[in-house]
Amino acid sequence: MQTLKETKPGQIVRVTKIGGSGPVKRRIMEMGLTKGVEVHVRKVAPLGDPMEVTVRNYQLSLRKADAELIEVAVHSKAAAPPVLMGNVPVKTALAGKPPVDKGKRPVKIALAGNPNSGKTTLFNALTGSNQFVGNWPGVTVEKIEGRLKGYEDASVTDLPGIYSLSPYTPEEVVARNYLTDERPDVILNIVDATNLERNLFLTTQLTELGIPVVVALNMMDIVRKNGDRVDTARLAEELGCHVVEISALKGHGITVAADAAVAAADGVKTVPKHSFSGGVEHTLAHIEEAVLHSLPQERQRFFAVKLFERDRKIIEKLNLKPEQVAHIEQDIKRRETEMGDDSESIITADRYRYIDSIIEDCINIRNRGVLSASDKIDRVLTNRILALPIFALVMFIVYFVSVTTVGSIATDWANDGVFGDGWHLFGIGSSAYEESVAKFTDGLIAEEPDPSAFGVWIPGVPVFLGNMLKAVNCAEWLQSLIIDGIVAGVGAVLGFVPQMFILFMFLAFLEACGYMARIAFIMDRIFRRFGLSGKSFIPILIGTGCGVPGIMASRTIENDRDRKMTVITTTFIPCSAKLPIIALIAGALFDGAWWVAPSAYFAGIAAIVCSGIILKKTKAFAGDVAPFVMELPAYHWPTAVNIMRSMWERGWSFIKKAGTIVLLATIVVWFASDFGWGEGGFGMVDMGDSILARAGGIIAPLFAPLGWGNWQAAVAAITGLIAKENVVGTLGILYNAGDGAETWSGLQNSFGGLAAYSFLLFNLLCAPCAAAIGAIRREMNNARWFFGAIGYQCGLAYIVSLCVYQWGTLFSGRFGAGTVAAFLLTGGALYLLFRPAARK
Amino acid sequence: MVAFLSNNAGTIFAGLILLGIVAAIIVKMCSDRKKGCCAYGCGGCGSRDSCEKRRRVASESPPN
Repeated sequence: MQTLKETKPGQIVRVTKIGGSGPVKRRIMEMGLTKGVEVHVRKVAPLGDPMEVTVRNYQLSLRKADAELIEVAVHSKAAAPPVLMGNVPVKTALAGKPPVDKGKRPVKIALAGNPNSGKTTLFNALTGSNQFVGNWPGVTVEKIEGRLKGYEDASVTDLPGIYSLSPYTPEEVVARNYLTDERPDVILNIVDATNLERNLFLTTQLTELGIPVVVALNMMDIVRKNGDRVDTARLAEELGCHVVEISALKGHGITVAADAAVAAADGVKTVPKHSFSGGVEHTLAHIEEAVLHSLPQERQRFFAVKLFERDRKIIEKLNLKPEQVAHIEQDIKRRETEMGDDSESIITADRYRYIDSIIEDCINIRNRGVLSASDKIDRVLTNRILALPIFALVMFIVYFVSVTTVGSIATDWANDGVFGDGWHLFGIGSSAYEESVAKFTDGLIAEEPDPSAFGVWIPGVPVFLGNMLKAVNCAEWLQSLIIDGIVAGVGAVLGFVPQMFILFMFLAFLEACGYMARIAFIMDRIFRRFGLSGKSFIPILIGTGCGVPGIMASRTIENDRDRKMTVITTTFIPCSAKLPIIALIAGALFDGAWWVAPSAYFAGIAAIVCSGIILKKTKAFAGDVAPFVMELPAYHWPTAVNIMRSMWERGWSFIKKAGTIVLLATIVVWFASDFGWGEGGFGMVDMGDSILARAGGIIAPLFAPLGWGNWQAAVAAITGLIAKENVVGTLGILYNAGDGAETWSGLQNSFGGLAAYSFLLFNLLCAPCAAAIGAIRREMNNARWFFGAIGYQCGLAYIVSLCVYQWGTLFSGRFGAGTVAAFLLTGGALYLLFRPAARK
Repeated sequence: MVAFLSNNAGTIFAGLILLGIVAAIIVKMCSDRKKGCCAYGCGGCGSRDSCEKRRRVASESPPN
């Protein structure tokens, strides 16, 4: 007896049995791995697990532990593709019917479909609103509403992407509750036509709800380009509902789909055409008669099937009495014994048998078994040996280009020009001016050169505002607040905007093209070592943009333990707000060294991996690894519009943050750093005697073992808890930045290289900004877990920074109490990493 | 009083502008918070759709 686990890459096998039970078995079957289906084992991930298979014409990633549950028989020859019975390019089943009466009555349309089927693109096209379109599951987690274009009173609700109406994930529960409780007038089911078999599984469930269904076959342009054919009319006949062809990305067929949905809302309710095997139908009829007779006829089918599957949430929703449950349980058990399988597997297998018959009748795949372009790309990008180095290289290039090269040139201009003395327009005259300045500095010329004599000189914001304020005789204290406080602080942050935009552009490209899903596949083996799946890597990667959506994307992780661990560790990865800190430290204290930015990123990953190992060995997180079954969507070249939109939205959000929260924080920091109690009472004082210096002086000794026990660094780290950009803004004020160069020289006088790196690590790893802390609080939904998470993050940051600094100074010959503490903490960490796991 | 105002007109003018900007920022942050976004607004947030109280109805756009 062979299992899928033992099947070698390149082999084609047929499933003979699915072992196991519970959610893992259900998920495996719902993803298309049912008895009799053909499976082509494509490859194994670089570290030996998971494996990638092709089933029902799409790529699926599956752990070997789960593959071991699937018994297979070797099948060397693929079945011959079905011959299409003609090709009737029917765009809509409404052809020939009277025109739709737009605006007749309110119509509620629910948009439902699998993740990656183009649902959000279609929603944008139907309603005209902008949504972020990513290329891996989990981008849209909550339902969204929009008004249907061209209709006075028709709304479209975009449900989360779901594979089925089973209650495994929050998204599935949200979608199902909406469909059963709010009962929209019509369901517009978007189906990826390049992946019909798996997508139709949800369609068969939707047709059982007793609500009119319109199927929108998306990506039909790709189907035609591949030379494949879909008999739309036949498909409509076999499904028992309207079918329209669309290409949401290209905007084809959108109006037709909208008209079809509105017309269907007034029409006959969809009656499911598929039937289960005789014995199952008998049991379903009995269930309907016994416990569902009081419900409207069209709703009974769906609930009967769910009760047959023993869906606990449906049993609670229907408020069934224990004796009713016991009564139908006898019938279900009898059927299970008869058919030799559990009730959910029976239903799932039957659905896929029905789908197989549809595929045979309606679809003609021209290049079945031939490697697609995505397959060829994956041969390199997910190659066993090359995958990890390629991933490291990709992230290195992203950060190197964003921070060190292109980004840093633009940031130098922003820091020294826009927020400094000024700059020559288009750089014309700047080299000649710099030569003259050098001569003046060396005493070769007597008069200081006037920059406007060399070209069009645009004064920097501090100079421009300073001149304006002097011209109106503004008081010195207000000038100081505006120039030395607000402009210095906000300018220090806004100086990094060019780097942010370039980074966001790269991240948007990686998300949109499909590479991010491959990263989860590659990283699964590593993550599984400490009990997380590769799926946990997706929130972490989202967190490279902003920690808040990264934390919220953890909702797609079914296992509660894994989800909490992901929430705690997501913010260890540097987000865009932390990038100015990295760029400042790298530029000011490491002379722009190329390794600083990538090392921060990899330090974040190391913190995630080590935290996972340590936490997994605690009782709170111990337990079996959650299954990893994930679709790998095809690669596609993202549209420039999508990338630019994503880049602009995130960049604008960064700028808005600087102009709001950072601006307010700089006012507070300026006040606290310029005012205090001096000899003449309360008023403007030297910075060293200010309120901030005194308060900072109290907490600064706490950070002395980390190498940066000065009050300025301590205060900057604390202000970073409001927004991480504040660290840079605060340092900009406290080191009295007239321009970037002054901040840098101030930092160089206060920090050595080792202390600076320790400061960097502390700010990267400690508790995130207020918004992310709020997201953690919401996701944990429990005070103990919340404070535990924040305490863990702060503690880890402190320990790592201390160890890095103390070990570093040991190598330079210094030994003290801090070194002893570092020894003990390092020993403790190694014990926690390598001790045996706790038993749950 | 008049002398004070005329001597400090520039300071008062600049101060009022700054106060207005700060007030506008605080009002915007509070209103974003009420809408369910975090205080930085929702633009660019990949999870703006997932915020707990967030329901948005897009305004009707011109037909295709």
